[in-house]
Amino acid sequence: MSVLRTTSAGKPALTASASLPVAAWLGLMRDALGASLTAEAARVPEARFEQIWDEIDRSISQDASRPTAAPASFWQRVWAAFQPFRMPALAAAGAAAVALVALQMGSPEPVNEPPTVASVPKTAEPTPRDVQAPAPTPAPNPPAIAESFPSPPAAEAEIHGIEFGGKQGRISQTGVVTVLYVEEDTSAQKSERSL
Amino acid sequence: MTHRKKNRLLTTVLAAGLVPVSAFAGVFSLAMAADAAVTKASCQVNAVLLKKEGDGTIPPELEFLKPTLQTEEFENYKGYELIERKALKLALDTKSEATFTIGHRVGLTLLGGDEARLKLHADLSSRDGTKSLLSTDYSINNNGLLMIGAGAYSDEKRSGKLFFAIQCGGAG
Repeated sequence: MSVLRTTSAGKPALTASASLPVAAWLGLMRDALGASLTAEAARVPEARFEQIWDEIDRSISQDASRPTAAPASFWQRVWAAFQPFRMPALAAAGAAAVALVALQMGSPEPVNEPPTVASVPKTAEPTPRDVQAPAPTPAPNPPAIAESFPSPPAAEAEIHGIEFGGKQGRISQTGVVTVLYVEEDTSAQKSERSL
Repeated sequence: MTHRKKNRLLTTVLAAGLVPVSAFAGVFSLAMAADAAVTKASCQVNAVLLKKEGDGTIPPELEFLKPTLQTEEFENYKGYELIERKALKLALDTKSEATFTIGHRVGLTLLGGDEARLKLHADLSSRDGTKSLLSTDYSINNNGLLMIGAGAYSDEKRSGKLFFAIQCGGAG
């Protein structure tokens, strides 16, 4: 089929009819290779899609096969969500409880001593009856009391209301301390005694 | 996947709510502790005799009165003597009373206050205890001093002007 023709230079040249089988063969090979690659490329997303779908099916089947698949109650979900905060919350509650107890605990000394305790003279000798009675709170030692009180700050008192029952009375503010002066009416007592 | 997302969302919401509530509770607790109302107090009542005669030496047991005794109000007195000292524990709205050997009775009542300032009621009876010489409501700084001059006093050994120095400190 191939025809050798002479060119203008006189050299023989391969004409189209001679080269046709090779070109056709190459074209066929190219087409076949292209089609194969295209088909391969088309199968990749399909496989990936099938893989994803299989995974979804597997997870659905696992969820369906779980015995606890029933939806948890609201409080269970809240409790589960609260799980990271359980220990800090317990620690904070414990610290708050300790702080409250510490705040509530005051001085161990008894408050509001009965007047009889305060009125007992320091030099009074205990009678046998007193010895048999429950032991009263011992009279505090004056130096110890003085030590327990700090030096009074220089501050005046604010008088909200006052009643003088003696002969006379007045209020003096010195800038350092407030002094209330009362004067006992001794004349009435003397007259009563004379009666 | 969706369940985990819900859990995370719920956890975040709870955390977002818990943090400010905890912070507010902490600040509120501190503020309450700082401004805690006083419910009890300790007081000491000193019966002091001030005399015109003396060398001006303040005895150690009255050293805490030195700034007061050195004011112009008391400059005429040169002798100082502690007759008796009484301690009182006060509870809120409950009267505590101290009876002195010289006959006077001093009653104190804690009416309220906070850690900085106390509100108190004080009353003083006559020497025979039959009459009230003074009844007053006052407020004063914590550990502040109130002086009550009860007039002239004399016995076999001494004579002068009788004063009652009242000092109270509050406690929560």
